[in-house]
Amino acid sequence: MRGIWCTGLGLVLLTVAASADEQAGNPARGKAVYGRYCVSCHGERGDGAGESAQYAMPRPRDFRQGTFKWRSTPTGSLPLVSDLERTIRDGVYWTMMPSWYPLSRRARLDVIAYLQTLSPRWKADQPGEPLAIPPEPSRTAESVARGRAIYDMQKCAQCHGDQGAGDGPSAKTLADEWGDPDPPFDLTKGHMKGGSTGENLYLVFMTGLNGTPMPSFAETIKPDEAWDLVHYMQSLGARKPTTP
Amino acid sequence: MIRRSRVLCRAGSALVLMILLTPSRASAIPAFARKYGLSCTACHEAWPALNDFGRAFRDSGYQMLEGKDNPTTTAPGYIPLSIRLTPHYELNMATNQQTDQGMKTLKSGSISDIGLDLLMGGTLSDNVSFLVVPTGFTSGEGVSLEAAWVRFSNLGGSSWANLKVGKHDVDLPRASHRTWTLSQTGYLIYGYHSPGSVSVYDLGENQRGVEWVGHDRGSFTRAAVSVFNVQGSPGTRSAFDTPGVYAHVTREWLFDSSGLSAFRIGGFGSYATWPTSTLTEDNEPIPGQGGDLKGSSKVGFDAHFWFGPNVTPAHLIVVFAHGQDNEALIPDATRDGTFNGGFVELGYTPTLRTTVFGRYDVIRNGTQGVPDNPQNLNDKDAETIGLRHTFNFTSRAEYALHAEFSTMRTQLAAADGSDTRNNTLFLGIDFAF
Repeated sequence: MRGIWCTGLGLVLLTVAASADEQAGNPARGKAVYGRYCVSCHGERGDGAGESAQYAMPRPRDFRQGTFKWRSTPTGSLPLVSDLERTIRDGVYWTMMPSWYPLSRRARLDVIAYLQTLSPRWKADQPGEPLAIPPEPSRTAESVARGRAIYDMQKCAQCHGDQGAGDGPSAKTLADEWGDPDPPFDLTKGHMKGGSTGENLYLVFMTGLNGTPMPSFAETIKPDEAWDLVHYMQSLGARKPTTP
Repeated sequence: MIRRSRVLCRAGSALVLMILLTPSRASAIPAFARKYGLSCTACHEAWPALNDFGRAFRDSGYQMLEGKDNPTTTAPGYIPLSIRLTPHYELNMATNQQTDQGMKTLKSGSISDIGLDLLMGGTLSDNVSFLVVPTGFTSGEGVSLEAAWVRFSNLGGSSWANLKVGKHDVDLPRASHRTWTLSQTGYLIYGYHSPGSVSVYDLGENQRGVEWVGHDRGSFTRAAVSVFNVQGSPGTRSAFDTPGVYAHVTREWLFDSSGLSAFRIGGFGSYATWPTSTLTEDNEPIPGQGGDLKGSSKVGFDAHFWFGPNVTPAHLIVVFAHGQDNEALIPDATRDGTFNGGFVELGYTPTLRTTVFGRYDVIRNGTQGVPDNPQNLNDKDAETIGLRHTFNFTSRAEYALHAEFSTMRTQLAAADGSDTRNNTLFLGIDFAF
């Protein structure tokens, strides 16, 4: 009896060890992952026109464009695989994109490899260099006040409103690259779309959200000013910052 | 007058028969797919069995936890209601049945009275969810409530504090209401008791009570404890006068491997009481007046292996349990009855649309409560094979062809002391919308 158990355990370990070989994504396997989990929103062709897309706001990503919002790379550039993996793993808050955390990392890498076959951009371009994020300074009343001053100076209120409620003068006119309405985010909701940690917000200011009216401020504000802005944004939220 | 009653034994047998003759209904809830815009394949390994994503969604209280769970975020016309129907043909055959003409093989077959499940489930607000499932709606049986509960999730902001109150399914190694098999055989170990036991407590039956569930992110490590009043007990007259408890702890690992892609191990146990006496009137039991509670228990483990890509896996499940019935539950017994049993189930889903499955169930009695009984009295072996092919799955509806054959041998169960065999052929269309 003991022999049977040992043999079984050995076979299991052998199966794991023998095949734990691939770390890069496999697009063929990724297509199967996409078919199971993604197709109802992003569509058979990856064009963001799945059966549920008409009910989603914002609309699902059209992967043929090679344009991605949540990145650690400079504005306009392709994201890193790790950026895409983070979006898949954690989801996008306040949208139809759920967190696919229960999927294996391999499944996530596979589906990313498949997404990279849907746009010619992935052959022509390389992802940009990831932005270096300096250590976050302490959040103080002073840093929040400085952040408010930057908020005013950069005219954030034009879109997000004076109190950050997403009701600025331009709010109703904003649209994304595909012509869909893209109202500015209500910063008082507490939980930010791309995650509420300081680093998440820092990246949004400094890389922008490709395809949307949200620009990058990397050329206009300094890193320490960006952190002040982060602290001001976090002070607007009704909830404490959360870990994605 | 209080007495140990053979009437109880007969009533228990009738209940067992009734439960066995009621096909296990499974749950798949397109209302969730509509709410979140996902295909059924997102949550179901092969409908209606859940995959890891679906299990995490269930454990989160039917929530994605991405700010779109509160009913105020859905379109005003959204109704958290789904309907499931399984029109089917079923052929049953039972060998060595006693008749006035001697021992015969009895056959019956028909397009069964369809019945339906109304699956009403969703969220009432953030972190408060519900499920109410009226089922039946057949001409003969009327309507019963399969499930009716409210769940309070993430209490104190912790995924380890979730409380469900009401009639609920306990956290089984393989959910009997979300299984691929639909024929009458079911998972034998869940409802088995030593020969003669009056208890009909069945792990697979939903129970009225309270369940605590705790889990980590993704539900890879989780624990569940249910405390309940045993369903079907003739002693039932208040909330916990026939108490039972069930617990299950599991841990799952994912592997970046093309061989074994995931593995889960778990341990479970139950202790359920049952009355051994009752007040009577004109020698008939007075409903709800049972007493002298005695217990039956089961303790076991489950192991799940997923081979191949976790999108199209071969899923192997091994469940083993040891059970015991107190001698007082078994008329004429002089000692506790014990048994071992379990099942091995393999389901292979080579494409999103098709699943082939097979299962072997086994029961082996250890100690017979009645010493004169042969040790192998009521030992059981059952084999089940089948195919589910889904023609259509969207966020709105799904329908599948279901074909299944099962055969079960029960040793020494016939009136003449020979073995009996029950065969069931099931052909149907299973659909939900």
